[in-house]
Amino acid sequence: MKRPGLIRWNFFGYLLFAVLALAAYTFLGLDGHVKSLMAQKLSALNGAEVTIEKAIFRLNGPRIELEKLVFKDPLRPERIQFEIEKIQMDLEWPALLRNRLVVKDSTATSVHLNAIQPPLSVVGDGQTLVGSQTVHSLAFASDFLSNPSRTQLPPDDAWSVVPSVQAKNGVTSEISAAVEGWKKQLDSLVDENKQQTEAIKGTENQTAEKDAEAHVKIIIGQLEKSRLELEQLETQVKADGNILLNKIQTLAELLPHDVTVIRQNVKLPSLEFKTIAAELGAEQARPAIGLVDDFYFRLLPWLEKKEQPLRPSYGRNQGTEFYFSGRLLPPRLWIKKLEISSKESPDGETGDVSGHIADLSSEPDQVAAHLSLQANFKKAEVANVQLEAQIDHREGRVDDRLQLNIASYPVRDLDFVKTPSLRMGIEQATASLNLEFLVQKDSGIINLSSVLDKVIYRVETNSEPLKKIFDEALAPLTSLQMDANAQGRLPNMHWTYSSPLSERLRTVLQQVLSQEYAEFGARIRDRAYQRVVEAKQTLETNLVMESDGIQQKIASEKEALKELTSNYVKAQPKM
Amino acid sequence: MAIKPRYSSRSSFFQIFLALLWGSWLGFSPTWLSLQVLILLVALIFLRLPWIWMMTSFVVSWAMGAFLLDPLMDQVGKLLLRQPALDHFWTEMAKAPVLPWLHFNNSMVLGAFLLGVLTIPFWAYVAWNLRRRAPVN
Repeated sequence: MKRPGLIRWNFFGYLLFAVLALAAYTFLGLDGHVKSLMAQKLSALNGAEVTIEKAIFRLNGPRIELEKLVFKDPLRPERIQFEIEKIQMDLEWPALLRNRLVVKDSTATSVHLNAIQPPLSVVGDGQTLVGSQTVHSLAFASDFLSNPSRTQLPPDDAWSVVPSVQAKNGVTSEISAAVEGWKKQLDSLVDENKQQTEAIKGTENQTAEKDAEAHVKIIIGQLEKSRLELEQLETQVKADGNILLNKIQTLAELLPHDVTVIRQNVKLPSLEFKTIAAELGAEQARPAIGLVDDFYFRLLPWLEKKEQPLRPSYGRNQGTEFYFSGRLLPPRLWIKKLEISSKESPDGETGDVSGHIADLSSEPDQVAAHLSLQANFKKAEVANVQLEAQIDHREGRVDDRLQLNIASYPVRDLDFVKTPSLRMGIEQATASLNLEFLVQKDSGIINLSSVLDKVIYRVETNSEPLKKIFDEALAPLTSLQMDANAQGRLPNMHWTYSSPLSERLRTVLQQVLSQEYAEFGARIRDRAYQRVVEAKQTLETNLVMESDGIQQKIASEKEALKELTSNYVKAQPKM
Repeated sequence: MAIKPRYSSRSSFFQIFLALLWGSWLGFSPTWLSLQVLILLVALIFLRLPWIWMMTSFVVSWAMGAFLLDPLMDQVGKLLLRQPALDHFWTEMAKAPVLPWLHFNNSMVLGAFLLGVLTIPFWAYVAWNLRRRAPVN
């Protein structure tokens, strides 16, 4: 049988099938493909899922029309951040043939913004220009004040390390050593005397008559020597006793040190509240700085990235896409013109928005971008938003600017302290904002000014005294001004905050805590004094008892020697 | 010694070889949304290739890629795309119309293509062996 050849000459049937398949894909599958591709790219930019209800790709133009774009909140993926009803983009064929997206002209219409919610304390993957607070002095002070046992004196264990106790232990050891020494010396002298007495008795009858006188003299001399030794020991006991008594008296001098040590061991909030302005200011600034974070950490890297790892799909690694740039090569993405327009609907669902984006590209070193947006969102209670931005990296420089002014927007559930014992913050307020962000090379400046009016505070705690403290402190502050300034190398900028709220809370907490500390200090002093007096009494009693005991023994021994000596003196032959 | 025939095939060595190679290229490729895959599929209209060998090679290559070779292909692709010496070459490729749709800038696509090229001798050997074991009916 003849082998069939490699070339299929009667390919018309297959070709027809392929053409029909291609046509079917173009009419039925291409839109879906464009939809998933755009959703994938926009999700990468947004940092959370972006869904598109419908996408239409028109070869005439070419043009892409996207309908009902829903942007989820990157921090709360279950929540919708905003929606755009329709986006229409006119593309350029030469760029499209090179797998690049150059948008000649585009429009976005009907923008919905959902109610503004405060961002979480950590933005996205932890990247934020607002420095994270490692010291929470306000929370610590609140926890301290809400603790009913906050000024209880520490247990006895805590006193074991105070200087007077250590000194007492030292003096006790010295007394024991001295008493031990005295006893040893006394015992030794007593033994010596006993042996001497025995020896004298043994030699009494052996001595010849002619030597008796000399013998008695020697015995009397020996007994006198023993007596003198006992007197020396008695003197030493008294002298050492006096030294030790003086040492016991010095324990009282350690009293202030005892108080210091005890206060150091009890963890008390610092009265300086150095970081309170930053703690409160950072929380107030965070919602506005979230926009700067998005601009700096999300938009710029997304635009300028040269590599994009793709998610695995159908069990296969999809690899990493590399983006090359060069002269005569259009940017990977270049929105030459985007007009955003949206008319406010009667129910307020749709915002009144007009905006303009020019030359937003993935190569800001080639094309400088300008963004401008004016918006009102009645339902979200956001009025007069004005956003101006510029991205310019041409000729090796970096000149990025972002300016945001909002005449009015709602602030809800802004917590300054959220611990098991206290939730304190702003329940609701109306705020206005002026924000300026400038980047030159790798350094940046942020100026932020915010005014909060009609402020309703939230103070939730089980501690009545604490609630009273905060209620009284916050009641006069119905309007708050907060200014924040950051300068330095990005992203670790140096922040300074000023706000009457932080000043007010600092003053009130300092007053309350000072009073608490004064009372607590007095109680510690009393207790320390009591303990030192007790220690002194114990040591003195112990020393006197031991010393008296030794001295009595010495006295009785001396008496015995005296008696023995007088016996020998009487027995001495008359000259 | 005569080789015992185990199956019969009317396809030539070249047809079997191309079928195996085509199948492996399609199997190694992580995505079918690229131009070279389209070219391979369109070429099938004009070329008469034994489907059984193409499907076998495709399934084997796909499984090898999914369970074993994907990391290797990815690393090879990244290595080539990150080479400073090749940067100019890739940029010129990107400038040309249509060529960027080959997705050569994807590390997996490039790695899979390179692996496909490197397996040519292997598939040639397999095709030769299959041809000599399969008498023409």
